[in-house]
Amino acid sequence: MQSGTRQPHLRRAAAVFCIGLYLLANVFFLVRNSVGATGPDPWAYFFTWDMYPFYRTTSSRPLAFGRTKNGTCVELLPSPLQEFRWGLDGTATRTDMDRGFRYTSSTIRKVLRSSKHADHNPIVHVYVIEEYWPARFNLPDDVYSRTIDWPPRSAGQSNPRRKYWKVLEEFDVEFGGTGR
Amino acid sequence: MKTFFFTPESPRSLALVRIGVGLLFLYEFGVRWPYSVELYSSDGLPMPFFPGTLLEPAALGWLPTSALHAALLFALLAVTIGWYTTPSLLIACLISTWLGLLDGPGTFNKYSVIGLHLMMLLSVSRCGWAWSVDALVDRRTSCHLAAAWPRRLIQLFLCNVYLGAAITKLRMAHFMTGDLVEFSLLDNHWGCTAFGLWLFEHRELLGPASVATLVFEFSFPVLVWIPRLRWMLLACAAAFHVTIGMALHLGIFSPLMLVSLLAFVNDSDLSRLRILPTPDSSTTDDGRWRRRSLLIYVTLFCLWLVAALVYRQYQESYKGRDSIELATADGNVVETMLLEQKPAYEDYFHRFEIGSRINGFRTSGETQQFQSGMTVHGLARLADNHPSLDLDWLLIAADGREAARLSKTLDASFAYATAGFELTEELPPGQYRIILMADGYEVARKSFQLEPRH
Repeated sequence: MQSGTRQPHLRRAAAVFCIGLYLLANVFFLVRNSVGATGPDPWAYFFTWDMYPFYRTTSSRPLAFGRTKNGTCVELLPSPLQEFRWGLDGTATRTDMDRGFRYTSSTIRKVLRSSKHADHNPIVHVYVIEEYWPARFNLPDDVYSRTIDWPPRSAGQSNPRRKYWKVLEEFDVEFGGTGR
Repeated sequence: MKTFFFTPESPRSLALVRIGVGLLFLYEFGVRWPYSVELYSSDGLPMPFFPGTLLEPAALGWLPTSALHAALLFALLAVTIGWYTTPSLLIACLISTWLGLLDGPGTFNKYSVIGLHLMMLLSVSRCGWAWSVDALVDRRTSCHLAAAWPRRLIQLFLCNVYLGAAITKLRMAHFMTGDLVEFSLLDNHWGCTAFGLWLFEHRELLGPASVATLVFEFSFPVLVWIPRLRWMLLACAAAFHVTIGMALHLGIFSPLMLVSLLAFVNDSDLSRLRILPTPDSSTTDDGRWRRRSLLIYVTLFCLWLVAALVYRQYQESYKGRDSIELATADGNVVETMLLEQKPAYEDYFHRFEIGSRINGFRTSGETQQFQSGMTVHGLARLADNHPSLDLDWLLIAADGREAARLSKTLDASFAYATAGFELTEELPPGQYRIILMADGYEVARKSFQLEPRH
């Protein structure tokens, strides 16, 4: 093919088909998004441009602890298996970034299977905990003291960074390191 | 329509998009290379984006996963330099989809999908005909014209992205108030950048900025087609994405959008930029270099693959993923966590402000000094997880006596609470306070000066 002006008819027809199909898919999902029709359709994710669909007024992350047979507590989440870190300060694991805690259980199961404790001092019980705090506690101290001037107990002071916890799940562990 | 899609044009602007997309995804997957086994292999912790659907690719062992990742990096490098551009784009598109779908939280997101659209559309274009190894090797293609439709589809795709984002924002109750931007700026993963914190300190800008965002996103898809306005819209888009990039830590999203906007740059615009080299149009090709190029491509690909796998083998031999040592936790700390103490009442509140006027969900006007006859408004923004609360708004006079009180119950579904006190002539001048109490506990207070009417 020397030039775009002399394309064979077949090539032109294929191009028209591709253009039509692509535009149709885009328009269909745009209309679908406009009328608020969102369903469990994974294909829609590839054509729906709903950036900023939500925000959170609290920040949170999952934690998990295991209690061993002799009563010691060990950290399951974050775990040494999670080396990849992200976020502005490069400390967030993928389970931290998973806002809906969709992958927490599968990660804990993997950590239990890989743990050395399974041999000599097995983990017998697991606690899955959500650690959460108000979003304003993410502010650095200086910005916090300049901008948050209304709390009666800490007005003008540095960020108190209080944290709270909620038990999401707890379960016994069978021998071999899997959840019961 | 025929002219719009099929006018022959130079592929130079798409070549720029190709180079940008290649570089950005090379960076994106390059920084994930050391974690390839953890992110994408069955020996690590794959977190499929669409588990249990057709879009859940099989997680392979560490060796084939590393081979796929290495092949992806090679393909992206080839895309960047325009070497076997079309096959390289297809390989990059396929493998990045495969790997991305295996890692929801760490890899796959909306900008990944934007990148996949761009790679797919570039693969049906002639973006490898300019500023590329392909153009050097096969000079028959250099500087020739190609149909405009791939570039037009990228342009329409971008318009669709802006329109879709605008519609989503329009349907959100708290976008126009600036709340969405405010909480995004505070997000512990993608917020708290230096510029984002500056914006947070100037929260009065967030409402207008949100409205401006909507105006831009709705107007771009319409006005960018008007030749006289095109550069203005592109400048607005560039400013918009630079601002987002500075305010939020969103990976390569902003650079990717900036690169894709190059699809709106015409060849005549590029010709005016004399710093860009003009492709060589001589036709001295005799076919030998094309054959050698394929041989070199395949050889380098194989060498790259072998080197990457040897490195990965060396790296993995030190990991010991099957016998990890877990850190010991403080039992007392864990016990404290298990008590599930409820948040302090003031931690159900995000913002508290007073002013002489209320505009939507913000106060404005006077905030420090009020005159008799004015009304002082109090506004509280609550966190979304608050329970139903009994609120008491107290106006405390300079002498400490309670001048007025307003009580109301706030249902858990409400995000805002407001109250207004009329500052009558009977109230003596002095320093006043507005105190907000929730279920009997003081959660917020603000002071102001009441002066007699001039």
